[in-house]
Amino acid sequence: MRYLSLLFLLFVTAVFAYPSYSTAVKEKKIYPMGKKIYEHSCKTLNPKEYASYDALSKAISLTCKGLGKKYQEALGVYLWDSVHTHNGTAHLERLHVNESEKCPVCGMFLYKYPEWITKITYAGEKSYYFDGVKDMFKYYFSHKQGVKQILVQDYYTHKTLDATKAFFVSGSDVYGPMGRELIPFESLKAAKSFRLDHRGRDILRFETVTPRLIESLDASY
Amino acid sequence: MLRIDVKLFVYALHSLIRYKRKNIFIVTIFTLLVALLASFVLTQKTLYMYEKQKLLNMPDIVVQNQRGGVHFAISDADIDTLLEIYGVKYAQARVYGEYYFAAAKKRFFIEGFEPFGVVEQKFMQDALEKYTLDNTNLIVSRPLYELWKRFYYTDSFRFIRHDVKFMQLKIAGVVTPHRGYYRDFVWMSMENAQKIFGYGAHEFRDIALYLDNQNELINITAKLLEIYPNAKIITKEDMLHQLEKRFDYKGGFFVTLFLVTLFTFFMIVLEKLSGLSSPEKKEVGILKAVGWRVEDVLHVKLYEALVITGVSFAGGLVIAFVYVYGLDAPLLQSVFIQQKLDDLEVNIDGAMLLFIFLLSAPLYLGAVLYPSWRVATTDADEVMR
Repeated sequence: MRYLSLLFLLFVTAVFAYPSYSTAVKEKKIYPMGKKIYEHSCKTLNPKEYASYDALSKAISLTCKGLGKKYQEALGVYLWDSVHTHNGTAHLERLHVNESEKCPVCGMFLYKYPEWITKITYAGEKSYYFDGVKDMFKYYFSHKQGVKQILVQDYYTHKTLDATKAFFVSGSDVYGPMGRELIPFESLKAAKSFRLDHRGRDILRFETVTPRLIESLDASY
Repeated sequence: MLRIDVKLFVYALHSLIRYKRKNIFIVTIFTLLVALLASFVLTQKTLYMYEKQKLLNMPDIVVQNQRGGVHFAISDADIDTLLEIYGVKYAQARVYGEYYFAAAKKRFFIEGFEPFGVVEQKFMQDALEKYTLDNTNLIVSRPLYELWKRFYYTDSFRFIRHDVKFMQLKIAGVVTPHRGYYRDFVWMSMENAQKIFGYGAHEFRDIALYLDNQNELINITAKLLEIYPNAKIITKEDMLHQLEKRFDYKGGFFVTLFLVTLFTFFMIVLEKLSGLSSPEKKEVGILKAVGWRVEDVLHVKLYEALVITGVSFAGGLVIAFVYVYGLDAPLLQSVFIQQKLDDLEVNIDGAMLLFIFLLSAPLYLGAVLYPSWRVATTDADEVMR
């Protein structure tokens, strides 16, 4: 009897278990689909009311009738993750510059290289934009006081990242507007994949970047 | 030196009117030549821009399955693996194709859409949000709808499926076609599109990929070949190059032929004008005797030639404009594209005008000026004799 109930429990959890999708698939496919379904057919559900994913899925299958199983699952994952998964930092705005903005280190116009823009904000709301991670570091090493926030863009998705949490790859064959660069990434996995594809050398974090390394990027061979 | 002597200019105008027949002949030929060249260049540029716009709306990479060198259906089993590749914004398995509407003897375009799926093009997003697609309905473009109404399909349309069964779908909405897309199209659910074209539940025509970072095109293509070793991979970059080559090639053909025509007319005009006619010789002789210098006579001849060139050039351009943008270039379009377009968009720039000018004016100016120069420099005494 006990084993039967155990089996039954296993079966039920298997049916409503939280599906194992990778982050990439979730972000690119499941969330947009779930969001559309939510806004279109099932706005009455409040994901915060449910303690477990199973309860949420059961509620979906009861209230949002007429949805296929695939769509119910997408909706469930979207709603569950929107409440319970913490992305860490809040969503950062995309970096934008106007046509007159220049990099304080090299003087180049920044609007021509939108994917390479980086930014340092100081206390007192003064911010500077740079055309790459290298110039940003050059400025940072001589102006370390009062830094509030440093932002960079992920190479693959151009998502705005906090530089202190990003991973940088040095020595790759991808050149920025100022020549050899440190290329920023959101995750270690992305950085490793890039390093393999583009013959990068080291993966660094914000703290491990030294002025010597930045100088070596400019050294002629 | 560049001062235009008004009196000489007025004399030049009168002189033009005096030899009406000859000048009208020259102006007509030149106007027609300019009109021909300008029509061609304008048509080429406009159609090129149109095709380019269509291409820009396409996905960055398209993966097609092949069997024995021939296109075959592709499965969507590996879509999740594609999404894992860094730099890929979205990957989508697509079903689309041509449907033959036998009653009207016309083909139109059908595309299937996954319910609640990601749609990349903005104008599609707007339409799909306005009218919800499901397995019972479709969205049709306005020109096609007007055609359907003529065959009494006002609320719904009946398709003949690949397995020779009927499928009737209600018309959920009518949309105006977008510049960068087909003119006659139908949008329906993916399932219905698969049934009409005979694809199975997990079979699709191709897989479209949209990239976040264009730098990664080569790397991503290499990774795609690992997943689909037998596939044919078409990139948007390739298609743009091919389009450019096609238009340049046809354009080049024309320019060569045109230059031959131009040179022929140059010879004809030169021949016609270099017969030193007696009235003209007498006129120059008299002017010289009265006290005109050679340079004054040459100025007059130059003004004449410039007026002829200016009037012809402007006239030719006007004719070309009317032909290409007013009448929509009836015969010229089929040189470049298969399906004719209505309503060509005005598309000019300075480079084109300069090109047309440089290709026609100097040669013509030369043809007109040379005999005039010959006449002007003959000795006064000789002439009077």
